[in-house]
Amino acid sequence: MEQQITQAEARNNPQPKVMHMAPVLRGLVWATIGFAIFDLMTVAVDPFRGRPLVTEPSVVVGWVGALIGWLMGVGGYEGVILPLFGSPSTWVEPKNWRKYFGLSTNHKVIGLQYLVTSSSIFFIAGMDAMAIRYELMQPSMHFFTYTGQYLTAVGVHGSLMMFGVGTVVLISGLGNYFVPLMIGAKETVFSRLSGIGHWLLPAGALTLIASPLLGYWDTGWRGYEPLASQDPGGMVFYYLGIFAMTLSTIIASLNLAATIIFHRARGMTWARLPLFVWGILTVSLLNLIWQPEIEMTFVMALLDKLIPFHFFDALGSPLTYLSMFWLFGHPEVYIIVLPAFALWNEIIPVMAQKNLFARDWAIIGLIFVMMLSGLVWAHHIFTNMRNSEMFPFSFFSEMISIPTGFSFMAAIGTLWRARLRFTTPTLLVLMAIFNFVIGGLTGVYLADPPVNLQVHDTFFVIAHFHYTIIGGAIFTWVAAMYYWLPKLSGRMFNDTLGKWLALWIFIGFNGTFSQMFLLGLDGMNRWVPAYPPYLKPLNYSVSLFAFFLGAGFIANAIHIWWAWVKGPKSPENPWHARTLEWLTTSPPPDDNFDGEVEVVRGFYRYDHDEPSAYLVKNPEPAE
Amino acid sequence: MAVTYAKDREIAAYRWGFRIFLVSQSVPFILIFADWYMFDGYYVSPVASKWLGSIEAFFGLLSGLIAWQALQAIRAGHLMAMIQGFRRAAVIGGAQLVLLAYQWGTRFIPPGTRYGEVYYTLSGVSGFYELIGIFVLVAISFRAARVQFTAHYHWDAEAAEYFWIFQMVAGFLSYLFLYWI
Repeated sequence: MEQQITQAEARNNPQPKVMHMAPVLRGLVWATIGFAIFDLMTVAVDPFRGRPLVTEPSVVVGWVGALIGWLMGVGGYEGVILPLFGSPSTWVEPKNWRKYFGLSTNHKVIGLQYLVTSSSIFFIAGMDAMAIRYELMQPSMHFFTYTGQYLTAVGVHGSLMMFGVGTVVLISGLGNYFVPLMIGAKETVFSRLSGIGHWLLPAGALTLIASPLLGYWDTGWRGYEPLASQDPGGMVFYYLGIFAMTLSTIIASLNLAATIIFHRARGMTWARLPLFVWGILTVSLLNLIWQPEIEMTFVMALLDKLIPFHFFDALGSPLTYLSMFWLFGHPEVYIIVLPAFALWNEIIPVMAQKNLFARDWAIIGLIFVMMLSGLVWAHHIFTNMRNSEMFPFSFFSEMISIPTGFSFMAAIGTLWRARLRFTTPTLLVLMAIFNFVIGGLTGVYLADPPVNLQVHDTFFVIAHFHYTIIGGAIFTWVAAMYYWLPKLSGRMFNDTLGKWLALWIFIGFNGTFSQMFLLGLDGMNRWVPAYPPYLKPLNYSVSLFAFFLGAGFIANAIHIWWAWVKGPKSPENPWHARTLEWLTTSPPPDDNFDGEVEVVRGFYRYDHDEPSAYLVKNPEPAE
Repeated sequence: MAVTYAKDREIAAYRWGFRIFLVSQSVPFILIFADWYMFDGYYVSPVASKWLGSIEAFFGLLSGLIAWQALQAIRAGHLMAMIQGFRRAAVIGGAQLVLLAYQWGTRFIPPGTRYGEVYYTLSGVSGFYELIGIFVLVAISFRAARVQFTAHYHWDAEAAEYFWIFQMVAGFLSYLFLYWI
């Protein structure tokens, strides 16, 4: 039996590939060649009047060629295609820093690739936001020349933040790095697929960033119809870019869900599974349902533009598009924040060294939010609905606050009478909880049709969702980066500086977005680069706080980078946490644990000194 | 035995993951079916050729059956029968695609109608999955010859079969919706 298995596994080539070009560079070259071949073939078969070399159909086919070339170039040819046809893989993963610039099968490398790519996207989309806020400092247009430029900036900002940052950092980034460690696994199930999946993210982001080259588009991150079908070619790159990024998320989710179910260490029962792992499992299932849904909706919208069909344009049913978009769009919000809820209850018990309050209810909350998230979508389109149709969606939108409250209940119950260590991660988690309370409560207002119809498409809505996404998820991301920095790098940050930097972004964030509630109530519409002069003072103030916030995020990034490279050496388990990632060295070795892990009890009880798990070390090799 | 247990566990993980992936990939089809209902309640145009559609569906079912037999062959340890079965299934799948291309080329169904839009989208998506399936069948038939699948280790063939059956079922449901429901 074992002999047969060995035969079937003859995959490794004794002659490793000697790379003459960095995989990323080779990917770019092959992508260019792929684009040229596919594009020119299309215009040869389907010429347009005037015979331009790039048309809307040709750019779509060319993009497919570019994507294939890119994925082959970064290592897919040697790592995936050759083994698929039975040839031995010639791909050899470097052991030094070069491993971050090509296909990898190590979940920690992939996690860091995701984190760096997503941070870069956060920076670009953040600069985009700064441009938007600079424009809005004056009532008339003074920075952008055309309204289309402003609206494209808004659309690129929103799309990059949602699909390249919000959906990615906590799941594909921290999830890829920490979930296998937290369940005692040495690798993930679909590691090669996961490695390829990362490289879809920069491809998608670059596509979106390049979208203005094909013409300014006006729809924002929602791609609203029938506007989209009338927009210039930039819409095409919006659909394609998001397609690549969502595909990356599907792959990451599939890999993590399978890993959680099948690669848990001995003794890691469902009742002992860490909170963050539960969070990743629930959002992975959400991703596997809703990301393909939005991909197909975008394929249909793309056909509306290219053929043209009339599914969603003025001859078709724009309302169907809105429904299909928000069927995905609202679960997307929970996809972003559920891991954050889980992380609060991961970090607080550690910092308090106190038993997690109502752990089971915290998990039930995550699961019920997951299930209810598909039932609330129509509150985004109340303005297009009859009164009788609004009621069930209003009801479920308010009901979802109950399981959401379970996460708060667990966090507050744990904080109750705790001797909390007031560290930077603690402070940031408390800030995230505060922010999300405001985002959540204003969400309950928005779920009520009378308020919703009044403030629809105003800055009140923008303030609400930024409080949930930035205030809830991004603050938690920063908290998690500080919390896990000693594990990622083996080094410690400056806690005093970290707290000041946390305060910096807290003031910047609340200064920016709390005033946006007032702006919205005062009548400031979304999607307009010019507005009535009476709104200027508030807009001016919002912009100043926004610049302050942007600088604060950069300062935090610099601090984390400095600590990663130059920070003082950290103890192995500086927070005295019990979860499994702290059972191994920092940073962890290639196969995570130098031995076999056995879990003997849960991770969230601090009323005893017994260990939660044991690491049975591998025997020393004989000399 | 420990190695065998680990391998069995690994195969179970692959199997579960791939099935969940296929469930996930059924969402695009469900979306089109739902959208079609919202557009015009499953109206079937009288110009749609039920004969051609039925022949296409028959080819799909036939190739699915052959691929299933190929998987049974490798389970019994007959490697060559599996390779030939996968290649036959791919050829019949290719014939189904040629028929689809013929239907598209003749434009019996005008693309400018609502039924036409749904027809070209649904049959196009279905054909895309079939094209991927053909690629996978051919690739795995080459791989099987080089890597020597056995009666106990043939996960790659099983995965190809899963995908082929998935696209066959999705294609058959699309056929029912497009021509009968």
